[in-house]
Amino acid sequence: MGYFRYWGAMIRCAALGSKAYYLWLATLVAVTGVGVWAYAQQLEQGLAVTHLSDQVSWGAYIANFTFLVGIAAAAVLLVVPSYVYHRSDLKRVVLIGELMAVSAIVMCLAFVTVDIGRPDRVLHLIPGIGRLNFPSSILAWDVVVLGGYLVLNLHIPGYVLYARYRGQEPTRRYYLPLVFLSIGWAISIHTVTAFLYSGLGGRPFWNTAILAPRFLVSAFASGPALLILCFYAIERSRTLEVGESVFRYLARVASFALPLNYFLLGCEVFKEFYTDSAHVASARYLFFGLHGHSVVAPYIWAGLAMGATAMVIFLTPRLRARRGLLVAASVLAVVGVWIEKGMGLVVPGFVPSPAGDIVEYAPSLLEGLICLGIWALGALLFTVMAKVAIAILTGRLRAA
Amino acid sequence: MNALPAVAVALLLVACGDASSPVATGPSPSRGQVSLGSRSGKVAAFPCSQCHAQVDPAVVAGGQTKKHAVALAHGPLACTTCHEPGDMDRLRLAAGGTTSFDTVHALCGQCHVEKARAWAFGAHGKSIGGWSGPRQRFVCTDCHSPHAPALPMVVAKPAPVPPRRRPQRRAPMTRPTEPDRDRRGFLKLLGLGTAAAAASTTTACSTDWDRFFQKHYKEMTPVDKALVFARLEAEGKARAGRPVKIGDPPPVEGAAFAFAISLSLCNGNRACVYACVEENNQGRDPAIQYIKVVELDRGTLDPEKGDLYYEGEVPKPGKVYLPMQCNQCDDPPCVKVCPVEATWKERDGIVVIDYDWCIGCRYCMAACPYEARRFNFTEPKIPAREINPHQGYLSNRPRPRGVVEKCHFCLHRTRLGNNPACMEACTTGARKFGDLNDPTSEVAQILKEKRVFVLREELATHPRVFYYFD
Repeated sequence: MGYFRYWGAMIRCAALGSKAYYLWLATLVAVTGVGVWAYAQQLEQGLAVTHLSDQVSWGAYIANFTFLVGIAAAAVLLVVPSYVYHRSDLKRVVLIGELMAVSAIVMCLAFVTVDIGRPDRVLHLIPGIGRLNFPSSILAWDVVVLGGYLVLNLHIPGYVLYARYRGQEPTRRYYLPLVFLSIGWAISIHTVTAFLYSGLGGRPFWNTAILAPRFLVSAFASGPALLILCFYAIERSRTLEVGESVFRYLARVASFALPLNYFLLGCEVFKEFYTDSAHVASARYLFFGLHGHSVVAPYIWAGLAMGATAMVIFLTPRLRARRGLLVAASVLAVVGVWIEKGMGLVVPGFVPSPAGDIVEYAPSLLEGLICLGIWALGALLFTVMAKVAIAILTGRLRAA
Repeated sequence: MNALPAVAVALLLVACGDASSPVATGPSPSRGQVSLGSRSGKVAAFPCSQCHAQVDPAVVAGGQTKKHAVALAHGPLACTTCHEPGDMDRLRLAAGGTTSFDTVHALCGQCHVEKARAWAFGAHGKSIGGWSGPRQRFVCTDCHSPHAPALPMVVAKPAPVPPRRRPQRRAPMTRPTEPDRDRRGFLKLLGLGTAAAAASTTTACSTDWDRFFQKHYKEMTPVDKALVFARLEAEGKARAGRPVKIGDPPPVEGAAFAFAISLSLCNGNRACVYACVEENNQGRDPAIQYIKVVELDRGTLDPEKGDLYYEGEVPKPGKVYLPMQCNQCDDPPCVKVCPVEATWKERDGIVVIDYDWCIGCRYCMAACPYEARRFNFTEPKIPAREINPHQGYLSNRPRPRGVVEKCHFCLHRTRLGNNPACMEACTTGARKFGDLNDPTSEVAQILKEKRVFVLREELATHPRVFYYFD
């Protein structure tokens, strides 16, 4: 009974809030609704409503999926110092990070679902009912590791919050072993997602060993940046005192990871252009266009410019100390990495095609609306979960 | 039974100029044997002897005839180089003796030694019949005019439509065969677009249920298969307006199917592309084609330097035409990556797809180094009268929306001993299909005798489509 009352209390907490909270929720619900409508169009007409083709068979959906796996993995940056090094300031907010991971994985699963041509056959992925091609298919691995990570990140905050709600100290052996498991697991989800690409010999642009490190490093740049934005919003909502040290820590991590990310990208660029073999075609398409086709080039340069600006702010102590600039840098870092490891990675892998075809890709309006809808869904989920978690953590929501 | 004696005879004919017998004799050649069509009948319309008892000496000197339109464009040859002056219905061999029009290869092979040798084991020239049954091989004059043997240029069939120019790409697709369109419209009216789309593949509740719980091909019992095929045949009949037969021929035991394609012979006319579309019920709008022909400059075989959209007369001077399709790799990257085992390699080497199991994630398309796989972005549209009613469950039955498809070596034909549709349609004889494990097959002999290569060998996918120059 107590558990049901707990859920009732949480739902009440999520449903009651300020005017600004309702406005924010209403906006997210509306955008999600538009996304659902757009997805209904796609279900009705097929993936023909997208601008995907036989040549460029993955696009915005898989690009967003890739980026969000990184966001999910980046929760480990709060988990490690909190649970391993017992940093008390971070431990106060670590649950928020884990809930962000939950939202990110839900978004990942949504992006994969909208990408597949037969969502009605999704049960074919379930071992026992279907035929999961494990361990041969890296996509099967991804299903396993993402599902596992979702369960881990639902259990840990779920258990800790329930204990706090009842006014008890959580029993360490019920969650701490899983915390350590989740640390390794976080690395695995992004590694597996990189292997999804780098294991394909027929796509030389992706077939590179540094893809997994690149993915992790870029996740450790964009993840903290997104956390800074979330914590900034939480602090502005005056529900939880996040603390200056948390922002300093996250900015510091981003200031290491962002340059490292561009170093690895530079290694890749050097390899492609100095070797100048036939395989350079994809990289050339990405940065400069190929045979007059250059839809992606302005996009990647914009992304790199954003990343470079963010890097300057993160690396300059006087600039990053100013909250407004820090937030701006975080926005630029998130968008810059989203471009670079999203569409900037997925699309050039398909150009030129193995038969020498150059087919360009830019998402259709409906594709864009579906993506927007999933992002809104994720934000909605995160908002609601974070509100309840903060209420419990600050002691405002307690069992009577 | 095998064709070794037959080929040996052919080689002997070429080598010795002996014209005593055709390649294969007997009333009905059996498996693996090769026969030649009769030429005598075809030239009988104007037997030279009707007008000429002997060759006019003036004609012999000039190399041209005035009375009928035989323009000699065959090097320095004159009429009597080939025709026996004393008997106009016989051909004259350089080493002495004569041969008939049926065995013209014995004559041509005197100069074109390499071609004749290639022809004898099947690397040059077209064969008809099945790969396993009695084959008939064209002789030189079936394709080349003996008086002007250079082949004329032909107009290539239309180029594929690149996706960015695809017509009606985003227009809603209506399906005239769908009986529940009204229900769907009604649901949509209620704003239940999602539910409507989920219901869009239904014809009735029970089939809905059956379809949803349809097992993977490999898990179906014979009874399951019978039920599923019966349902598909009923759906097919409603769609095509005439009976449809869904077959499920098993892999040919001990066979290893392969293609050998002569890049010297292929002239890029795209006959194969369209024969494949018709045979295999590929969607016409948007157009799905399994075969891509790449036009390359001589000097490269890198498809990335080629042109897929060439038009007009072919073969263009200085160009090579490279037909690409599923390579039925022995180590197929597409099979490895499929998350639900919806695609696999069969015992006879053909990589197949269960279209009713595929979830449409398109990972196989990303993995394929040959761009062999196509996705049904919308319900494939095929005019009812153009639907091929002879269908295979794992091959050419019309595909549902949202799944991947590709070339399957026409397994519904080839497993019954016939040739693939593309090979049958090829006018140049560039395509050879057969069983690598049968040493008498044309592909096996081409692999042995010719220097063949495969595409993207460095990826170690071990393709079953071999290319050679001839």
